[in-house]
Amino acid sequence: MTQRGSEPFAASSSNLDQELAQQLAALAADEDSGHSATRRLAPALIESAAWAAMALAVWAVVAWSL
Amino acid sequence: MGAYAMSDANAHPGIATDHALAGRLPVLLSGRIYTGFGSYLLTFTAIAAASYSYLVGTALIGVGSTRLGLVGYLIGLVLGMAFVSLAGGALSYRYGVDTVDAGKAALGMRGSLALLIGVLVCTLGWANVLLAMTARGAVRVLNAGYAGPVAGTEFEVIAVGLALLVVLWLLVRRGAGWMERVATYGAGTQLVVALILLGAVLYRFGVTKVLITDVPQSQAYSPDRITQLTYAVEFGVCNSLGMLPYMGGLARLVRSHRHLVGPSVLGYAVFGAFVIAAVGALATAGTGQADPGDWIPLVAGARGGTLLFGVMLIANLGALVTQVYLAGVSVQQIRAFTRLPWSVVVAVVLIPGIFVTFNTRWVLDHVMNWLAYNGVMFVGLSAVLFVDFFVLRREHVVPAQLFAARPGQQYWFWGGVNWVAVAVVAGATACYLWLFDPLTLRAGVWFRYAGAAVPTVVISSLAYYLLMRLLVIPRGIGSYRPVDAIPAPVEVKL
Repeated sequence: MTQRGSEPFAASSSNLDQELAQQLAALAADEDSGHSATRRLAPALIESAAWAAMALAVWAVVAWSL
Repeated sequence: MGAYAMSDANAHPGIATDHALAGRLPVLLSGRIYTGFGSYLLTFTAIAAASYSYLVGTALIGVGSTRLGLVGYLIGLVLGMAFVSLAGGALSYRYGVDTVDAGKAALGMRGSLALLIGVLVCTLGWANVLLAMTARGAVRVLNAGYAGPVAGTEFEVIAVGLALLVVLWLLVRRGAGWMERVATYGAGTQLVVALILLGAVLYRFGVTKVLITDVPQSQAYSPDRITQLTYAVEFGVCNSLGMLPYMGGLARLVRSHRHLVGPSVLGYAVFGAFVIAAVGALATAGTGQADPGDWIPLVAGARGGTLLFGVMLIANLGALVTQVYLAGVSVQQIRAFTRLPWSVVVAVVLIPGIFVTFNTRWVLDHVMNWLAYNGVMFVGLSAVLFVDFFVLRREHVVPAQLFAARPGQQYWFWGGVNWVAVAVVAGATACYLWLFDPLTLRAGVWFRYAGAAVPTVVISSLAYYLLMRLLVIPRGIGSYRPVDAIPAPVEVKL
């Protein structure tokens, strides 16, 4: 990334709206290409489910042992 | 006016990245600062590993069993973070947008105001509680070894508090990169201090003694051991669900999907909240003292304790900087703030801190309890956001529409609000409070078996799914089917 740590300068709202449009256009182009790295959420879902299942299983075992 | 897809996306990429990181613009993959597992993990550790987590450990003993309190708390923390890291972070990660913008697809363009309030209340609320703790603690450290009162005078507390605000402003105004660095160092330092204190506690009192020392059963929240475990699980789940407002602002800075869940669960639940609370719980069990300022000298000696306490307070800056940064990004939902330089936005966000420095005792006595109650609204919100993005929208929204705040646009619903989502969140809050009151700790009959947050999330998820399928989607409201989409270009504005 560029200029990390530097303070963003003040911008007029019209400039910001233009930058927003540019960022959205870049996002849309990424989506349309079908290769967006952020599309792959299935592994995150599986990981989340695994953590939750592990926590529930431990909860059940500890409660059962009481 | 910003017409979608109207101009060169690569013009001035550095400027756009800076505005994105310090504001509401979507952060593209190339501009994201969390490129590794460790740095994202440490930011979550920093948020949890602060002075207030030691006090949570003291509360855990109150369930009646120190061991059940610790085990249950860890179970609840992991369970909650596993869910909320996706409920609050997935859409933000996917499109690089802030929490409040991400919430617009489910809650409506105006309905997402509830999230804005939640973000500001949580980030600034906890930041100011920590500010008050740090100011009072720092005066205590500065006065240690002198003849005067250790607690110091209110004038000293105010002076230290104001100085802290200046330091915070200097750090946060440097942007997201500095936030990440300060959080990394802060978290690492807190963990080192916590491990030293843990070693000191175990050395002084012995592992067995601190683990089997429980509060008298007459003072326990419940005499029933299963209910004691459930209380601790509930504290953990609610603590994690309270992270909902933080998730989007951080997840939009993550580059790889591999880092979306693991670092947040490990960093917040395990290394941050659990480790610190465990040290607090065991120290309280050993010494009988609740306040870290009281038990640290008892376990680490007068000089060593003062030094460790001082380092711990400095490391609080990691949590403070992260929370103020997230508040600064979110407050730019108010259009006037988008026109201000970032340093002015940060200064405005810190203004409530001036009031806090003059009233630290009052803040510590009243605000923490109120924040615990306030977190109840995130139980239903997290269910709505998860079901809306993963089930109803199948992980796809139109990012430009998140910035198209006009009647008739895709996420406008009714008057800018998805009233079905609002009703489900209100119902979930009522359901939760029926099962469990976090202030009085009154637990309903069913609480013993599953707590309150887990059943509330399940019930509100089902209710939201059914109501949306029956009432909203068939009417073509909210653009849940591709055929309902409004063709581009649309007007997008910050």
